[in-house]
Amino acid sequence: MKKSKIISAIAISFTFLIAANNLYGQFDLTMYNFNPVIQTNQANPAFIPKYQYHVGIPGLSSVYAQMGTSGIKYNQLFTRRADDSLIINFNDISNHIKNNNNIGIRLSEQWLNGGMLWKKYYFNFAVSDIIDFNMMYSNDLVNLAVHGNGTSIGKSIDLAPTFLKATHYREYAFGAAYNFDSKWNFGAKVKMLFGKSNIHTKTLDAKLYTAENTYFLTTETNMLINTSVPKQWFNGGNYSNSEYLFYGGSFGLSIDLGATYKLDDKYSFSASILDLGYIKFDRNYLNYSTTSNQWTFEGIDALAFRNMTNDQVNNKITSIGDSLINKFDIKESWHSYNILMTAKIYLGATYKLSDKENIGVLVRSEIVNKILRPSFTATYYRQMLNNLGVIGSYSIINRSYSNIGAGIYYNIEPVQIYLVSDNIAGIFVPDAVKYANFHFGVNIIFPEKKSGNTLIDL
Amino acid sequence: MKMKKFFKNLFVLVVISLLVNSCYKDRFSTDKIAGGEWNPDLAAPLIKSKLTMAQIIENSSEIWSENPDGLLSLTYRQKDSSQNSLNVVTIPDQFIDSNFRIVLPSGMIPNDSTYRIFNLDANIVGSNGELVDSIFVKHGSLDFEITTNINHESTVQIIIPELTRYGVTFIQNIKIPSAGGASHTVLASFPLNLYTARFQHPNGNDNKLSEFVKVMVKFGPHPDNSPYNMYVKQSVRNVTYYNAYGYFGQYNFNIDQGSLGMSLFDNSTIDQIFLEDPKLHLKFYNSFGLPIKINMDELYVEKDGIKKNFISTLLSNLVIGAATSQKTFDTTVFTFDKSNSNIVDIFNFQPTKMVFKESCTTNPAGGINNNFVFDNSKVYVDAEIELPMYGRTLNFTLKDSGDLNIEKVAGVKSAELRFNLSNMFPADAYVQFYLADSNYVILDSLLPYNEQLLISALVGPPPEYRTYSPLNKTTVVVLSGDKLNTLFNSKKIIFAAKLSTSEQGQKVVKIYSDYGIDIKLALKLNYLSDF
Repeated sequence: MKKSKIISAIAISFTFLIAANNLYGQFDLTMYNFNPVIQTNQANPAFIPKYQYHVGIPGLSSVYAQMGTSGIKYNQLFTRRADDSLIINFNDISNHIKNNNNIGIRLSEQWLNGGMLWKKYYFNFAVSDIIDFNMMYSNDLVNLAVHGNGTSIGKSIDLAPTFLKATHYREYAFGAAYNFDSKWNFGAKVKMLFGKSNIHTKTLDAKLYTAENTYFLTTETNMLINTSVPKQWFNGGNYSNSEYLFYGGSFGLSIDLGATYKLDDKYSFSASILDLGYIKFDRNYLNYSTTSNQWTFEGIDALAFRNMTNDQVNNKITSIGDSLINKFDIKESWHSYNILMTAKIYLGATYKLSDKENIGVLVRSEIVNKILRPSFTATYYRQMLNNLGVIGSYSIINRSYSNIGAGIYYNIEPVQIYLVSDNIAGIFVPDAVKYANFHFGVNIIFPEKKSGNTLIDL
Repeated sequence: MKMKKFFKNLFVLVVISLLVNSCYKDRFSTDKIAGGEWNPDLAAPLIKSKLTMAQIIENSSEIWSENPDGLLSLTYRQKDSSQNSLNVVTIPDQFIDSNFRIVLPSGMIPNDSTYRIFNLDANIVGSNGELVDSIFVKHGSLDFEITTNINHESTVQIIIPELTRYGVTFIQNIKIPSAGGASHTVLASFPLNLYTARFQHPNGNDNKLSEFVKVMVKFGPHPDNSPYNMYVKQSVRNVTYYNAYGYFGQYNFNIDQGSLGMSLFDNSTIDQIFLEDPKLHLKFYNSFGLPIKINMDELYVEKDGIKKNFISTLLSNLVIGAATSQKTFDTTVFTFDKSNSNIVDIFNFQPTKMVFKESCTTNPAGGINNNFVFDNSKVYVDAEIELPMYGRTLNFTLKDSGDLNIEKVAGVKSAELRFNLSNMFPADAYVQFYLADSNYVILDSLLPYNEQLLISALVGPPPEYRTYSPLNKTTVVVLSGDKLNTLFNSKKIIFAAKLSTSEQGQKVVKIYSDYGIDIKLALKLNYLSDF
């Protein structure tokens, strides 16, 4: 039994290694199995901390920043010359690009949080501001920008799945977890969301075909871009920060669901799904759209310029340029719109090596623009002292195999301080990694719940 | 104790953060970013046009014509004219002298009057045996010089019944004062403008105009010295006409020499050309009311100073008819073609001009005809060379040149021009563009040597010899390095094309107005931006 489970774990790991080319930017992977830290509940609402009460230090309880890309790394953008200066090496960029590349940035600031245990329940709340930036771009798009269309003659350059969803929203989260029995925990969290700004390419289909021999350019475009951004940011008008930050509209809702299962003293399993919900942006909206159309530019009819004066020629060229632009026929409209939140799925398992250490695996996926973006993480946790624990992790994310993470928490009651990163190298050499993050916070914790479980138990 | 340890650790954390922060600046080295090199290949279509023969000849309709079936012809025209009739059919000045003897009745006393009437038949003599029926005089005068020895006041009245203006007979009085017995002379002149004279031909070859001279004498204080003498000298001078009817005999006059340039053979060299059906139309427009024989004194073509004469059986018998009324022309067309002349040889000679000169003989058949002339009567000749685009040619070379001023585009490393031409013409074309400096000194050429840009479309059967589907040819020209720099530095571009009809110029073809070339020109640039 034990052997078969280990083989299964190896098989799952191998599968993820093979699929590593498609493992994209994620967040808070190491934290998931870092149970002594209260903020693990952000990743699975069924996680129940061991503290009777906890309160976050306002503004400091959870500070999270993350940047990731499955495309080129910063240091791959440049070539160092003999004089130590750097130049952008455009020709080399496409060598580091594959299909369906992404750039992800997430900044999360938890202003308030608190929680308490009551009988078999755990209640918690949190107020956070979150900036979530997700962009996908195709290899074709990069090649077009870098090499031009002259290297893709006779081929269709497809910009799909180029996509952008950038959102700033405030989240009021109210969660509850229930210790069902000695094996099962269940949890749920309801989040009231208030959108602040957003740019979302709901539809962005574009193709460019350069015909062989004639170089006729055929484009197909179908676009709907929704924006909810104060226009004063662009035209220099006044728009107060308070008006931006404390607007009560653009309401949305989402829920998190989670469960944990303790198979035996050794094995525990967990699963959660987060951010199932939406925000309806109802202010500062502006929508750009094109109808699905295809047109081909075949060149200018030179004979149309016959017998023209210079002024007439200039006017004709201007009108041709205008007509080409008008072919795209971008229309503006003003409608409120909904965005779906980026849903995340966590599947975790831990194996308890001893009372002070365990190993864990995590498969995390998120669904962005109908594309599943998975990641894989293996962790090792050790309780060094009663009030000090460390965790190490290895993750495959963003087509990168070299993500060694670590975390530490330290309880000096009533203070808990923690710092976690999925990729330590990202802290020290951010230019050379595809993924970097850190999660830092300070909580006020009250007496630990006395139970038979150690801190590392679920 | 625990708190002290906490703050100690926190201090270590802050120090590490600061170190990391400074490390970030070094890692990203933003201050060392000097720029980059962007080297894309950009491809786009430049031109898509359809150039048809109809468009080519659109602004040259004066030299191109189109048959109902669309066959095109190149036409060169030159119009010349003769002198007008006033310089051809002339009325010479006429001089008529008469002498009258006047005897007064006896017994006249002062203030008595008497008269005598004399009849004259003036004969107007032409220079060419004309028999003039009438003349409507435009200008001219009838002058009198009367010398008499009558010693009484007298008046001479001239009456010409067939000389009328607005229907009123010409009657003029000339007063002759008394000179006391001595012979004296009186002059008088009368304009003939707008008079119409009608002549009689009693003898068949004369132009008689009846005239009466009435001499009226008022007897004065002087004695009667009868018989008296009176000499009347009449002259008709400087007569021109609006029109004249009659028979005007055989005059000879010239039509100005004409010269007709043929641009087809200018600015070109041709190894061979065989035009299947060239034609020369000589169109004569005659507003004289008399038949005319045209004598082609000169009719030849010329190239580089070498002349080649037209030979035709028609040349000996070029007689044109008479106009039938005022403001009409008789139009007679003589067409020289391969059946009646050496015209095929003439144009295969590739002449650059044709010279023609005619002289005219009126009433060539002689005899008495009813002629008329008007003051503006002329003979016009319209020489028209018609060259139907029907034949074959080998190495018809065209050259042209123009200014070239292409601004250098920084960063362009190479440019690929892609000519994609679909040719409906039954002709192959080898084309070259030469780049030259402002003195037309050739610096380089754009296309590879002897590059065939157009492939002849396939030619159908006679008699239409039509092409039905175009043939496509793509030519790629890569410009880079020195050639590209030369392009930017050149001031002139010289175009040279060598055309041959299908099958190396051995196939007879026809050129129709709907023939054309689909032109697609595309450009691919290799661009290097160093920023």
